[in-house]
Amino acid sequence: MNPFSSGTRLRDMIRAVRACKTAAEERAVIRKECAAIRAAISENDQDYRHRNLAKLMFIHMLGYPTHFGQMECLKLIAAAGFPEKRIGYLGLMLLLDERQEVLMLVTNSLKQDLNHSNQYIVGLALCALGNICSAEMARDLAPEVERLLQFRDPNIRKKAALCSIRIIKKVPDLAENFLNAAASLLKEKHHGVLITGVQLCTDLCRVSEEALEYFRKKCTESMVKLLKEVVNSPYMPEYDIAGIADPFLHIRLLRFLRVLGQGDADASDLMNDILAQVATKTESNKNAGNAILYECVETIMSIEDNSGLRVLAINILGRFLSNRDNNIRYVALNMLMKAITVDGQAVQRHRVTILECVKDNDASIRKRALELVYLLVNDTNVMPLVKELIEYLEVSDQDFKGELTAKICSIVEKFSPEKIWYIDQMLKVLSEAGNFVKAEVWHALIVVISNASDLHGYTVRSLYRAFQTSSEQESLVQVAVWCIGEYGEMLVNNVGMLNIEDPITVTESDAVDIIEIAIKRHSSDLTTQAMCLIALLKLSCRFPSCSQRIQEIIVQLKGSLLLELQQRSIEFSSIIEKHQNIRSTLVERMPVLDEATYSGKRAGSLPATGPTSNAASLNLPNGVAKPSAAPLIDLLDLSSDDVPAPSSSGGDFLQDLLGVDLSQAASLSGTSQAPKSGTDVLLDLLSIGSPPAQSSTSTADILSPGQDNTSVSTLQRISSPSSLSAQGSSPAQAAPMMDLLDGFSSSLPVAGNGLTYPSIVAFESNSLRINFDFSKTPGNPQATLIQAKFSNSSPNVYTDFIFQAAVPKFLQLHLDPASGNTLPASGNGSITQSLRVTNNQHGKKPLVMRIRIAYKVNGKDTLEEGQINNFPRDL
Amino acid sequence: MEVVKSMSQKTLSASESDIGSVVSMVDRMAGMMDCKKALLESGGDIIHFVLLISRQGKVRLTKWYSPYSQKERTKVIRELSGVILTRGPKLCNFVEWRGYKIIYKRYASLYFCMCIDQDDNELEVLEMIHHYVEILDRYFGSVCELDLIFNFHKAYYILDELLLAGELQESSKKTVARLIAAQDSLVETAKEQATIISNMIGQATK
Repeated sequence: MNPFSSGTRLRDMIRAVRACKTAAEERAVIRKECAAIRAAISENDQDYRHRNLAKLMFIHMLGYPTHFGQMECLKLIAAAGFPEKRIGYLGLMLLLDERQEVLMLVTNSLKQDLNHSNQYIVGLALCALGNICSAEMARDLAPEVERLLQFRDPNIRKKAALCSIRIIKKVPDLAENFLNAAASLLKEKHHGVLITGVQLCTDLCRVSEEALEYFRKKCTESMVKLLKEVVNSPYMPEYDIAGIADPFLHIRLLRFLRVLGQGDADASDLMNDILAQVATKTESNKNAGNAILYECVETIMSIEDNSGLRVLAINILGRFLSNRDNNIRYVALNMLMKAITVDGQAVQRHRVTILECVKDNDASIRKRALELVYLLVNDTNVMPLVKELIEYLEVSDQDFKGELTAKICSIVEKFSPEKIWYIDQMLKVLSEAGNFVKAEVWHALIVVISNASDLHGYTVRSLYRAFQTSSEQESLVQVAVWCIGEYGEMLVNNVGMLNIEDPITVTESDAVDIIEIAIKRHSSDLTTQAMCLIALLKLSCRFPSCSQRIQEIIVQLKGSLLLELQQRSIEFSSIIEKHQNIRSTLVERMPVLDEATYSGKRAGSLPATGPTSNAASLNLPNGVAKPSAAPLIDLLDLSSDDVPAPSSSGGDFLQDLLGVDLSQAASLSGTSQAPKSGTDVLLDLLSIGSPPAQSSTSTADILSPGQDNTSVSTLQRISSPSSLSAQGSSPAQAAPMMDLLDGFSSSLPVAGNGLTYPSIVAFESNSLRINFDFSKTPGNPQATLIQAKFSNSSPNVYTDFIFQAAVPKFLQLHLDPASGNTLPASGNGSITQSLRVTNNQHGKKPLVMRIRIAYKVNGKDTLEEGQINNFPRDL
Repeated sequence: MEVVKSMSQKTLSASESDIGSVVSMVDRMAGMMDCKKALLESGGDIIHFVLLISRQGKVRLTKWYSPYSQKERTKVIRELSGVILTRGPKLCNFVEWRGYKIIYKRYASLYFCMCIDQDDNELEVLEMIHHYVEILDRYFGSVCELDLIFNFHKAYYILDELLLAGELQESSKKTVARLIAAQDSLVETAKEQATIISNMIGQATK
């Protein structure tokens, strides 16, 4: 005999493991045992196989790998004796799961054992099948199980019934085979068979409409009768629990009746009496009785309406809710959530108690209660409820704050009766738990603030106060920084004072202090710091006395390792230093953000597109081919003067500002060429699309108040760089302008021209003009060769002329070297450069391009930027 | 740009998780209004797994009625011992976990845990746990943790007579005890026979 395999007994091994003082010792013991077992396996040792498997199971429970023992289970199952099979099946269920291929090998043994003459072996096989069978095994062995539903011993019938449940869940098509046998189980007297039979019928009804009809017609009455018998049965010691005869059977019968009664008035009628009896007569001082009541309430709530019964049910829940046992209160809250759709009024009556449960020290109860409160809120009770919740927010556990905050914000947003209340509550939440507030929640707050013009002063002062006490809450800081940037002068001058406010004195430098604190906090993230920089830029204009100090703060970030901050810092300091003349126009207050668009986008982006489209737009910063152009996107609104911010709705601005593009291409509705929302991402990101004409008119006005032009011409100047040329003379250039205003629908003279395309004026500023000529290589429709021609109509020569271009991901761009870097004055010459563009989405998406031109005039750097979306179609 | 990208990703995932919660909320609301549909779709009141964990976090019994890979099993056990063992004594016996509910009850040094769906009857499962404990108690004669360590297979056999496919199989403690006793005696008889035979072989080969 093998010297290892005689080894230790199971008991000794367990002792040895328990005697281990350290994990290392335990590992050593296990290693030794496993080695012995492996040796025994390879010697095909028979005598100790069952002992070895028992050891393996113990080792498995300790968390060590035991896959090498899987085949031993099969061998034991294939053995003839009961003891071997018993341990073999146990090992099979413990060491294997239904996904393992090895399992297929056991099907044959199972089949034999299901037909075995020893009923205990049949029982073992049924048990294993019921616990781990896969769909294939279910198909193979269903006939055996079906036959065993009529086995002489009730203990096999009950096992077969539960096994059938597993089979019909795996293969619902098999349901009808079990119908008759299942129905006959309902007539039995043995409780085990009844419990499992009722369960099987319930599950049959769930997978098969036919079965439901069948049982509803044939069994509703007899089940009501059976429940009546069970409820009224005399004391049965074998099944008695806390004075109730077999609560498990009670519950299963109630559940079955629920399935039968749902959606069927006649069946529901039949069970009314017995449900009333159960609801009124069941003892509720023990858990078993409460479990029955609980099930009964659920059945009453689910079957067809009977107002009398429902009152009874709600009363039971009310009693549960005031119970001192936490378990009972928990299930009461759970069930009230279901009851709220049935009888909201009745649930409202328990509001005070439920609100108390939100403050319970049991996390499970708190969570249930909070969800219930969330469903209870309506227009009339929102103010007191939110007040309570916010008060509780101050004292609640840290780990509950996140959930609580999310719910409060959601309630406040949904039910706020007026803006000032909304702003007040949000500020309270932000100062209490700002770190838990999600980004879109405070984005929404900013949109609301921006729209409440009469509350700007009030809000910025409240935020100033809140900042003093709660500067550790990130999102509060962000909102405060944004508001101080926008409405700083209102803070200082106490503009728009409301009666309810206490006056405060804030100097200009106090306001700058706040931003400086925020920007220098270690905990501030990139978003906050970036927002601070913008706020500072805005304040530098509004508070001339602090301009010097602001510039010093901004300059400090020039060396920031974060590219975003570095760029902002450099660009902003140059605006402060060199562009005094345009600065005030540049940092005008942000136009009112469009509430409807923002909320529409928020709502729209939720169900329709989900994560994929978000991910797509996320990639955008990378999709721009030239890295140099990429940062422009974020800065678009502030640093480029010929492409002002409000070319699209405010929501976009906010997104751009934060470098997040949640927005869909909703604003592109006019662009017939833009396919589905969210796909034409570049346009969206550049926010140039085609905003509703009205809104751009108004925003254009806001942006350029100094100009006396009519708003229409402002619009033209702003929204289409090429419109000037249209005003000029050349008739060919009228088309692009039309194009910009009407979207892409206007017809260009493309048709019939084969592979030739009209030239366009791609860009035109005061003096600089770029023409594009197109040509295509036959046989390669995706590729386009663009000949760019630059000309300069100003009296000055442009030197160090550099043209850069960037395209979205679906395009590939190759720039050839330009013909020169000096552009002669007064149109006396030009530079040409060829570009090759490959459109991977040819025919689906039009070309788009973003360009930047840098040159020197009299030694002074000049930068011009723009985007071209008036390319001919079909390129 | 890297930074901006990573930041957006963070914000985005936050908004995604929020979408998830909204969707699940919508689902739940829909389920309430159309219970029947929900019932048809859900697996319907089964116990997904049974765990016995000692106060020190040692696993004493695991039984899986829904498919979990070995890896998931380890993870579930680790996660749940963290949640359950840290709960205070007077709190309710239910923990919501990954969209399921864990019903647990502590008996001396052992926690008996069962995992069920959201809509199942928590109180009944609590009763089932007690039912199991009573049967164990009757079988071992005032059961203690050591009994379950050294005779873990017996605990499994008893559980297999009580639950099958995640459903309750027998509500009579007496019946379970009788069935277990009958099978134990089958094993005993087989053992005795094996001893007799090996003795006979031993004598014959002497």
